[in-house]
Amino acid sequence: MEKNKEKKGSEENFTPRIVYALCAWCGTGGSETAGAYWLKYPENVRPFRVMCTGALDASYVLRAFIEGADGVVVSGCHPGDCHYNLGNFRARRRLAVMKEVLNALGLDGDRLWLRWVAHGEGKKLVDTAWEFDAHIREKGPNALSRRWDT
Amino acid sequence: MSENDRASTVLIYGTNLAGYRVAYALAKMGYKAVMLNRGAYVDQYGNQVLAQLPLDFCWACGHMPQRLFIGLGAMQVLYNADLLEVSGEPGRFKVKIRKRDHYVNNFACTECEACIRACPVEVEDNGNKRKAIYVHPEIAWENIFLIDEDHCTRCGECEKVCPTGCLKLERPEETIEMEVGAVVLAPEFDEPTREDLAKFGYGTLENVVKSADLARRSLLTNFVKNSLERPSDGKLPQRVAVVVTPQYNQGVEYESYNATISAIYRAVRTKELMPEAQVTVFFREFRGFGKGHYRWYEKALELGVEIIRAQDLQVEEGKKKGDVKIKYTLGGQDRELEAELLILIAGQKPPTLMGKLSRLTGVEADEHGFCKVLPFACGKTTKEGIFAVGEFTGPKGNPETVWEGYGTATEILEYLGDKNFAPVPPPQLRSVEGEPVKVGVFICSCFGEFNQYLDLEGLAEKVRGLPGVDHVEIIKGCCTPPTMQETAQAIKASEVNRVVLAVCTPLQKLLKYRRTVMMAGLNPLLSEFLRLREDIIRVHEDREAMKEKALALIASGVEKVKKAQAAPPPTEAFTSTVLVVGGGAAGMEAALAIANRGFPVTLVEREKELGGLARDLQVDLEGHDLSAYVAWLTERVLNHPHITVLTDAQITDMWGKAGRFEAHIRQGDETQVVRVGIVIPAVGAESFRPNGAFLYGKDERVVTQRELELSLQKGETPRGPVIMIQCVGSRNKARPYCSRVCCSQALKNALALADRGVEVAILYRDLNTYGFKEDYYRMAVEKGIRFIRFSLGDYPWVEAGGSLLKVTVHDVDRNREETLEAARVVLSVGIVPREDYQELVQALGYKLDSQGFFDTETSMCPYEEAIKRLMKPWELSSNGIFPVGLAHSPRSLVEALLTARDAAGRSLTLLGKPQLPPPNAMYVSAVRESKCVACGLCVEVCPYYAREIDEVKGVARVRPYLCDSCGACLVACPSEAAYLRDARGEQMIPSVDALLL
Amino acid sequence: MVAVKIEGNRWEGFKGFLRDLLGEGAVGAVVVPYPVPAGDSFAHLLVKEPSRVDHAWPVAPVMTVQGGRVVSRLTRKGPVEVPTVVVLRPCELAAMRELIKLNQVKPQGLLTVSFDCPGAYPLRSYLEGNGEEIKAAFLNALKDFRLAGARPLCQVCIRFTGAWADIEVGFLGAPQGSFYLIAHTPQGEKALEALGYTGQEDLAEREKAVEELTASRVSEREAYFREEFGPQVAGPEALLATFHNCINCHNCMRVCPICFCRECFFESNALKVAPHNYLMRARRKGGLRFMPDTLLFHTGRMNHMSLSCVSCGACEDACPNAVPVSRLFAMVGDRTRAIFQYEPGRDLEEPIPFLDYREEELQEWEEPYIQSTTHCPSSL
Repeated sequence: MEKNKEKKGSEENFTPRIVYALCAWCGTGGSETAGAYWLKYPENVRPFRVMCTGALDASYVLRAFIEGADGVVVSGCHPGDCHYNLGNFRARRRLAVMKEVLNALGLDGDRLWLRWVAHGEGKKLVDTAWEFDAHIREKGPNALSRRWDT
Repeated sequence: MSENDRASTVLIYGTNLAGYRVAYALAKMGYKAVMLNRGAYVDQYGNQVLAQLPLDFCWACGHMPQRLFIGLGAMQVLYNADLLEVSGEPGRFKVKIRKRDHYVNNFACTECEACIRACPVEVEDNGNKRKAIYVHPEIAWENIFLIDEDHCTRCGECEKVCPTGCLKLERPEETIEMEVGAVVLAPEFDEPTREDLAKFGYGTLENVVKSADLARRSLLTNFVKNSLERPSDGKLPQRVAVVVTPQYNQGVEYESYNATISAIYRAVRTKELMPEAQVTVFFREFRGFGKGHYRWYEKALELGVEIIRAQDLQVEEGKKKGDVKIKYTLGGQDRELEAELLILIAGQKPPTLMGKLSRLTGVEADEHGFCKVLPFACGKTTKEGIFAVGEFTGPKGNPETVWEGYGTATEILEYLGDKNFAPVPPPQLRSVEGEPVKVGVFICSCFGEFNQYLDLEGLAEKVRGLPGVDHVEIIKGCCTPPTMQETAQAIKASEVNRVVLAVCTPLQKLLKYRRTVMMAGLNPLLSEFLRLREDIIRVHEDREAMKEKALALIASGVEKVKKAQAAPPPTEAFTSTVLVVGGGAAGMEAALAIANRGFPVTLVEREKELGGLARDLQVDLEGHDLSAYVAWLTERVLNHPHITVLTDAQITDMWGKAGRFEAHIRQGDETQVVRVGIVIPAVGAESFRPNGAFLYGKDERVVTQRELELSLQKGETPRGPVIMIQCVGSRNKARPYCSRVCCSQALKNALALADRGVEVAILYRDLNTYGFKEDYYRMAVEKGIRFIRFSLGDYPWVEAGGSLLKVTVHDVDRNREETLEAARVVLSVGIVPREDYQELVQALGYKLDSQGFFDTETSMCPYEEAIKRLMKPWELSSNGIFPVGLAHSPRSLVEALLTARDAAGRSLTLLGKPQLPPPNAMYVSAVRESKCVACGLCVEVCPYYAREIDEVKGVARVRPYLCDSCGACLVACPSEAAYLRDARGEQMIPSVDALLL
Repeated sequence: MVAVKIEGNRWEGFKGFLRDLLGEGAVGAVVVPYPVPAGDSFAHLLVKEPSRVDHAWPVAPVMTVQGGRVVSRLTRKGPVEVPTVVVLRPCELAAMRELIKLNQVKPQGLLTVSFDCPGAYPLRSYLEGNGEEIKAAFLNALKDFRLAGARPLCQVCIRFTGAWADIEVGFLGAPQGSFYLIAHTPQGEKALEALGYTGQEDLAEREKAVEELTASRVSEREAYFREEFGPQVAGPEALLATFHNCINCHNCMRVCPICFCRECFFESNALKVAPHNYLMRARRKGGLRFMPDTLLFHTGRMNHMSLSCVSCGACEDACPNAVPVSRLFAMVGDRTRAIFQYEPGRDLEEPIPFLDYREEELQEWEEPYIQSTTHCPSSL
């Protein structure tokens, strides 16, 4: 991490805007567990709550990328453990398509992550926030979010 | 006792899952329950499901209903409590209870943790530092504040700083008395002690751990390698062994139905994480007879997990430091295996509370030391009015535990007086139609606590600058009755009609926030809640950045409420009648339990007589008189005033959804139309027909177990030895599931034959003598019945030659071939779903599992059923279709009756309520008809059958009480025709924009 | 299966076959492209009178309206009452079949006829060019299957046969001066038998020809997107440059057969935001282009329907400003469909991937979690 920072000297002042899309159950629960344990993560990670990962519309994700986000990370109940039985199975398909649309257009689908976090997994949520933040810092700003001609 | 004299509240002693389920069921049926927890928090005494579930991630939301029902006032939990005395009679017991409330009243506590900061006493706890007052947040759904009595100096600092006054150091023990209609004993399971597990090196060898400990260790992070590190040196083991201890510890522990699948699951996860590691599982028999369990077993083999069916096993110190040596017997030979880590899947002990509860209540223990329950009933003990459920009555599986809850509630109802619980009606809401949008932002300071972390004044100033914000105010709180009142007043006084509450956890306090908004006369759809505490205060440090983030979250909420629209909860009529399809034992049991509560039931049977498969059963392995019960049941059903029995009848057509099904039933030349709210498929199943295999159908000396049983009943006795072949048509590629009942059936018939002096050998793969059935296995061995194990790839071979049949079997344990002679070869054929109910399935739109049973697929996790769904306080997620008996899955008759009781319980939570609201009140999905083209995408993705196409109007339609507002439909709909009332596009898009502020 | 070889002029033969179907009463109507009275364009005509078929252009040089949309309009309020032949290009047929899954086409009573499609000219070049010359060149292409000047997407079309139709009209692999009629369904067989066609022609030559052309098209298509078109449009810079010409007329969406919505999400109130919202976004970006949300519209649609996109090119024909919309969608769609090995229109029983799932799949799209201590300063 430190090494990368040196390498990308010009980006040193870059604080990414990160949207953390959480389902209302495990995702939100994970962030509450993190809170209960006072686990810290970067302030630039902002939660966006949807009922279910399966309720995360592509338009929200694209909107975030176009209007200022440098990365979007999505967390919700583990497969087989969805509060709504199978929302996350559908979410995974949707997310794959979202990422592949971005990839196909050269917009870097790797700025969009999907990682399951259960209610109890506060540490995993916080780890994810740090890891994703470092990942996006390394990538640098998302060009779209700074373009006026979108 | 007359109904008027009966009490209506039920006492539940203990916190096992079935006990919770009893409370939920009763709450929904309109009765209050008092739950007595001997401990200080929810899982202090691990219940079977929490402690034995083979999972590493928490499923805390499974416990959420408890909070809901407590909040609604249907359920009261007494902590640090014990039962002192029970007197009176069924219907009106007088119980004396001792309890001590928590130092911190959990429902008034804001969890601000001021007390923790004020506490001057630091304590070292397992290498971590904490204060003498601390939170117990292992799973963060209910953070209970505990005081460590050993270290607390009673200085009183905590009490002084508590802003809500919910902390009191003086919490005297109280003794209370109450009258209850019934008592349910639901204590948690007893884990084997260190001594019990000593033979496995537990407690003496450092690198022997219990699976449950391991799961705990990985709880915060899911199952990652760290949780597998060896306790002795932190090294990641390369050789891991898993042992199912109850199979090697007989007479000491009992095996719950979770044990072998837990072992398989643990092995699979280990192998997935460390594919190079050598993972070995030890058990005598694989007893995964639940849904999908056999598939997990296959998966383990595919991954290269080694499974050793050792006959006996001992553990001692290994050669290398820290290693563990497992000495075992296989095929009469002694072998050994060294492992770096040994994981124990432990069983359960007879309840230590048995004696005490017996003295208090008069219930009796069975011969194993568990609480004795009556056959052909649900949770009934030998003492009338006292019920026992869950692991207290014996080892079992999770579904059984869950089903017992609702099932027992149907029995309890017989002892209760008038309903005594109804939710408080919501406050009067005003209409905001025509008013210009006025947004108010209310920032919670948590009694001033938040000021320490966040510049609330500065934040409020910035919020005032947001476009379209009319009012900003810092509030003290809105989660205690006074602060809810104050905030409601503040909202009213500010005259706003859109509310943003910047507060804390909605998972716990959502209902309070909604209530606050409603107390201000506003529909909660006009409000939005966000978490200053969990999303900012507790998880960040940089104060400026925190303020910026808080502003963004608030701005996002403001944008969302600006376009919010109010709407009342839609309600829809629910028809309080039931259709039972199939007049076998399970169908009749369900029909009777429902009709006994006064609701009309139509029971359709295709044959001339009721009884189905159960008609020719006499006794089961345990000796229960099945035929007498079935006869009694048939009699009752035929003569019940609320049951219409239609025999020799066919369902010719059927459609509809929960609450309003319509079935066309033809009986002779007449067809009648029946309208019902609930359908209970009890269509049964049939035996696998092994046509041609093992000479079945070619040689009349080869019969099925059932055929053997019928001939035994006629008094015929085979002349010469009998050989039984297990797993015929089960646990193979075509039917990768265990049929559960065949091993018991074989044992029962083998014992009967042995009693008549016939020599018997049972050729088997895994002997599924679960629960107490193990006793009969031992009895069989004593009577000289031979057991020979073969493998999946090498089934026995039957030849006709001579006067006797010749059976060749490869004995895998001893690794030798053997040829036996038999006068009869008896095939234990599996249970397969019927094929002739496809039309019914299609008419109901029900999604069968991959084997064709009436159940949903859950092979992703090795639960027997998705435990969360079972836990959900929400019956209609299955569209008002409650399959029972063999239609659901292979079960014995007694077990089939349990599914019927559960279905009856679920039905009774719904029946008698002519109008049902959605589970989330006004938060439902809806259809904008002007945009809908009836493409049906939303119908397809809805997990709850809550959507359908209105063919006349050509648009989609929502069935409100089926909708749990998950949002799948709004994503599926490429237009905006499907939407969630609180997440319409025009709310969500600007809310994303503002979040990026 | 019934497969027969018809000798004679392919063009006249095809029309003759349609006329016979209508004339013999096997069907009650035919939907077929037809020259407009002015003669300078084509429209789909619902024909009841057999003699009219003589003037039809079952294989039209341009695609003015996507046939899938035509069938959808015809049957949206219910199935046709008399058996009706619909003559569709393969991509139109695929769209129609996709619309059946989406409940936007009621297929009962429809008899689909499709054919080896040589491609279509860009609508504009046809309308602006010399109609008669182009028509002549086009008819020629039915012989050698080479259509110079065809739309770029047609040139890399990989589903160019009518194999999914009830009746397929096959030119490829048939000796010159002949063509095949192949029934793929019982309805198709019945119709052919009604005209007295029975038998099972050997189609090995044809299959070989189709296979060869498919193989070369597949590699051409892949190379085109990877080497030629892809680099021109991929990446934030190039992509935005590609959309600079977009005037937000949304014609591409309106003509799209798969965009069956009554109102597109991207035209809904969801995106009609308050002035302060535009100002906020302008502040962040240093300015905001109007009309806004161009990229959101296009990428949003790709998420909604690229899985079902049949690469028919209707959108690009409809674009007044020559934005290569159809190629963008085809390029993206090829990738998204590959995730699920899905092909729109292939199988009516095959659910659209968004409606289906496997419990164990797509793990490669999830982010694995190796508990990290590197990034996370918090410790437990």
